[in-house]
Amino acid sequence: MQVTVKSWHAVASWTWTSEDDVCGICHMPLDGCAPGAPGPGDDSPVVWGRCSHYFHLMCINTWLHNKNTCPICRRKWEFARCAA
Amino acid sequence: MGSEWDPLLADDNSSGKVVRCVYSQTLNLTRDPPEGIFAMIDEHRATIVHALICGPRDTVYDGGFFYFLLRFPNDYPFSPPKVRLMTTGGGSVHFNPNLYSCGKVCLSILGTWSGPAWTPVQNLTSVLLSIQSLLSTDPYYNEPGVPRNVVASEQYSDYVRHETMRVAVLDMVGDTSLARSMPPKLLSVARSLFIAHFPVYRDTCEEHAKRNPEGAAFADPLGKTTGTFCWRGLGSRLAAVGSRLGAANFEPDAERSERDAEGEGGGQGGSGSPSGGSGGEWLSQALTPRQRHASPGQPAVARLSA
Repeated sequence: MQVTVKSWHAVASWTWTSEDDVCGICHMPLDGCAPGAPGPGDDSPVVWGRCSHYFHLMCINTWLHNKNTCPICRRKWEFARCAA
Repeated sequence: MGSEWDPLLADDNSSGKVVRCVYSQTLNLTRDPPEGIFAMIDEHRATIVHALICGPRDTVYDGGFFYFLLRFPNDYPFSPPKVRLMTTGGGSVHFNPNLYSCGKVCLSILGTWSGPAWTPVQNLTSVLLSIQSLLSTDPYYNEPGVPRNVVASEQYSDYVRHETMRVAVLDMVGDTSLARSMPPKLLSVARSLFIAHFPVYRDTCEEHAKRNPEGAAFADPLGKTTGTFCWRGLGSRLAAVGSRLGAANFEPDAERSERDAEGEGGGQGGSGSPSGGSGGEWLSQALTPRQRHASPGQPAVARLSA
């Protein structure tokens, strides 16, 4: 039998890649779900600081209310611009 | 002095997030325990952790058992746990310039001391390791601003060593209200390490009885405490506690084969066999991961998840 493909939908999945695969604050996987986040992936994004340390956005935001420093190196926290 | 640091005076309103966090950090600690550190979650209150820190070898705290209570606040890990040292001889012993007789633990990451403050990447293991690091060789120099003074440091060490034997060893494993207040599993860890370490305790009592005459007053250069040396008295108490716990005629090899015969070794029989040797060597065997895994936290943790 021969079929002719008339159209298709491309499907892709993605994941965060990093050397260390858990968030230093909540110890949950970076591509998993931060405590309190509605879901993993886009609902629980990962952010980098200019010091190159990274956390779940929700986790670092909770900490930044407290103190504007990186929890690992204690330098002033500044969000790194997203690399394309 | 405020009491914000005191876990016994804190409110008990725990959120699910904190309970999960404490549970996973305790599990991590019991899976990969640092030498001489044991911890378990309280049976009734899931945000309370009981911890036993053993005094590191070759320090004046050698062989001592220091029992700590930790309470994790609602916003943990964004705030540090509250920590209290329970081993204080009823509030009479000042074990270290950073460990007050009231039980307060002065440590910058706990917010009770100046210096690098708490950050949310700290965890149960890092807190307990920081506390263990206070139990150092010359604790006198933990006091901020003291000039180098070998005599004062030795006097302080003599005092701490004596009180470690009296309170952190004998009160901790003997039949005392402090020992009864510990979770039974931590008490049995302390008692089995006591039995393994017994010859070293005996030598310490004998050696220091020569150095610090019976009835001589402590010379605490920090002026925080008074009392008298009684190494001979401690030696007799040690013998009594030792014989009650079955350590008096302790022979490392005999003891070990007895234990193995009881099936504790499971499928690992014969591995890591200590080659007799001195009591000090044997303690390191007693602290191998195999025994530590078999000991405290895990059963309690399993109960929590059941």
